[in-house]
Amino acid sequence: MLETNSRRRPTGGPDDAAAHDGETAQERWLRQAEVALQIGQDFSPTVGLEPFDFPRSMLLDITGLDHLHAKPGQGTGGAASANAGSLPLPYQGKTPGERALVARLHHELRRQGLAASIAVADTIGAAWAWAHYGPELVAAGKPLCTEALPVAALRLSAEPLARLEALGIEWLGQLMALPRAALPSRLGAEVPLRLEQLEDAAAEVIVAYRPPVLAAAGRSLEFPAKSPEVLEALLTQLLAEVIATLPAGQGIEQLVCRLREEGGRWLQFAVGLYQATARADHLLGLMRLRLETLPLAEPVEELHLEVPAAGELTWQQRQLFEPRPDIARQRALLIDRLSTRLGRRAVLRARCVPDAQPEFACRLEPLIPPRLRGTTLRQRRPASAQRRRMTGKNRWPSGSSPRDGSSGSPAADPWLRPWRLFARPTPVEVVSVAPDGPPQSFMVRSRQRPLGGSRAATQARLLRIVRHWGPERIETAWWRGQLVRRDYYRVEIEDGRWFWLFRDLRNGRWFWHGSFG
Amino acid sequence: MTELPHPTSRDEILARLREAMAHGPACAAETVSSGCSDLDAILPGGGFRRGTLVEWLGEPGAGAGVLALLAAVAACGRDGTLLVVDGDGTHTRHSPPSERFYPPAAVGAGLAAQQLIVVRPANAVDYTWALDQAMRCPALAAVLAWPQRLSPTAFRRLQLAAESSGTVGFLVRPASAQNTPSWADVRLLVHPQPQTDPSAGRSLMLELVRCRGAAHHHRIVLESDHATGTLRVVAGNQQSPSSYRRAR
Repeated sequence: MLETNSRRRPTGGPDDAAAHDGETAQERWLRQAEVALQIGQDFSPTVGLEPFDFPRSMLLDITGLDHLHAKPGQGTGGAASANAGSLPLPYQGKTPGERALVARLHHELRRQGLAASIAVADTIGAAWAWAHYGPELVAAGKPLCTEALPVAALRLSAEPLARLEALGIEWLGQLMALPRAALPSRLGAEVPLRLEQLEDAAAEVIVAYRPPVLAAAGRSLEFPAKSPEVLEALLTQLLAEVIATLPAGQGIEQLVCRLREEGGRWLQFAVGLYQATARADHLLGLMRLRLETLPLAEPVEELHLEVPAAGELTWQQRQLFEPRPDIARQRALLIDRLSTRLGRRAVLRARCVPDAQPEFACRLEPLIPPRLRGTTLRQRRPASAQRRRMTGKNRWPSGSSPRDGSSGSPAADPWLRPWRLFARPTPVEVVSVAPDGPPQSFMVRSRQRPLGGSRAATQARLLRIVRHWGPERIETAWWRGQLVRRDYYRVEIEDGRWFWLFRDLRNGRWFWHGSFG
Repeated sequence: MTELPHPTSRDEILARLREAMAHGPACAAETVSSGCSDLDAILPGGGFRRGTLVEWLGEPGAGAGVLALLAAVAACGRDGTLLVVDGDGTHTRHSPPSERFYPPAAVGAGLAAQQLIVVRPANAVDYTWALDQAMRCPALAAVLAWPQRLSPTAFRRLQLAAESSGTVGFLVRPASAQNTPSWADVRLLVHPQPQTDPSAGRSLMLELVRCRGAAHHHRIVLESDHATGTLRVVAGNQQSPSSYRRAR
């Protein structure tokens, strides 16, 4: 039994966090869970999530798989040395094969940007306990035995945990020393159940996670084909079959195409849609965009189409006096096309949030939401959006009116914030008369060319400031780990151009953050 | 585009239908305002024509981008969608653009966040493709981009795409692009005017380098108002046909 508790690697600072801007906690979790589940399926035939409402751990059954990962030519230490140079901990596998599997799983997850805590044990309960509390024991220098684990390692809910704490029982050793028969009457049914699950493998099984497929169709080719025309013709047939098997009124929200090359290699791509659709020509157009960039090396001998996510088709009442009736549909088609070719995370909508730090004052979110393959984890559309569809208004599906409060502040001075911001503020050298006073002139010492012109010309140019507005002081973001204290200035240089500078009040250094125009 | 309020009574519906039958289908307004009435006054037709490209030339920080953003927001009105293609078209996946579009500026200019779509292509090929697709889509009111380089072929494709869809394309380009061939309907050069009075707003000289249907080379000086954020003309309409010919 193998248990993985994966989490995002800690980010390095505000610049790192900005790389995933506009992502809510749920979106991030969905993305990570999907990545982890896909990796897990390469390691084990039975992969599941822990049976909680908001699962954080992935469970893999690796019974009888260790011989696949052991390298026969090497000694017992050979596989273990692959694990980043450190000796594997006892709970990370007993046999060389298990240790190699853990090391490889660590490596694969790390390649996807996920840091995981992995444990191998005979039961799900023990694997969970070691994955969550094993590193703590190692850090505290305690003996690595079950008795030394804290009682929280039993996956208990809040109530029995509080009762155990009131009784002064902190470690599993103390709990296991108590007579087992007296436990239910004193502590409730949960504690003995979890103890049994910790010790006895038969008490719990992994419920395999299977992405539900709502409709599927496939073809096996007698003569493998590689030409795009043949593949497109086949996909057209498969699409027609898939659409015909969907229930009436349902459209495709996500489409997965899997192809097997002659050598046995599988290729896969997914197409996500902004609005559910049942139009074969549109779906075919999107798949064509992906086929163009697919690295096909050999002719294809098998093709499969699957629909993991479907949604209600939208009905839109045509307005009698509407000048352009299909505007919403045209927009959805454009978003689908752009997202298919550029990637879902490249087609974004903006959401302004009341955050004083300029980098975080706006969140960019993908227009096509992430979808984990499974109906229970799918994001439901808000009730207001469903009502909107019934009334047939030709507007955005989310949000009520274009100018409601959440969308941002009312129209303000367009010259207050620059229209382009540097991804990383550029360090500049500033001359000012008073120590904490406004800037008098500044010089860019950067390899970039944000000022235009040749690189050599911009490097050593001192720009004299003739007017300035500010300071606009910002002290915020202590909850993100580091207090941000800045004084922002809008400055006009002698040729009339405007820039946005700030002084970092923590160290007195100056940065250039954007330009007006 | 001005939209009529929805009819409330049967008589009103009938009256409107009779009117529509008499005048043919109501066609969309041919021009959109530039967001500044004084600039509209020197443009033929009182604004930018739909289905055309508008070029704003200026050095970084000169104000061309903000003026283009204001014009794009004005073209969107209350319901239109603005699509912004982020990046200057010279970046790659491994060297992302150093500057990114900052949506709060668009919100500050009066656009609702729901009316905005930001596209971030990963490389130059995708950038050109995304720009072309956006210009081809009739559902967008305006497209804003700042391509560093634009080949004449790609430029012509964009112009044809805009013509087919009726979208207005706003391209912000460096002042050095003035000497390159253009398929834009209107080309405006922005010179910032330095000021010494700290209470004065921002002063910009706008030069109409090229405009289809305009007989003269116009030049106006606009000043922004700190209190309202609007632009008004402070120096009159200077016409210089000779330099206009040279610029062409």
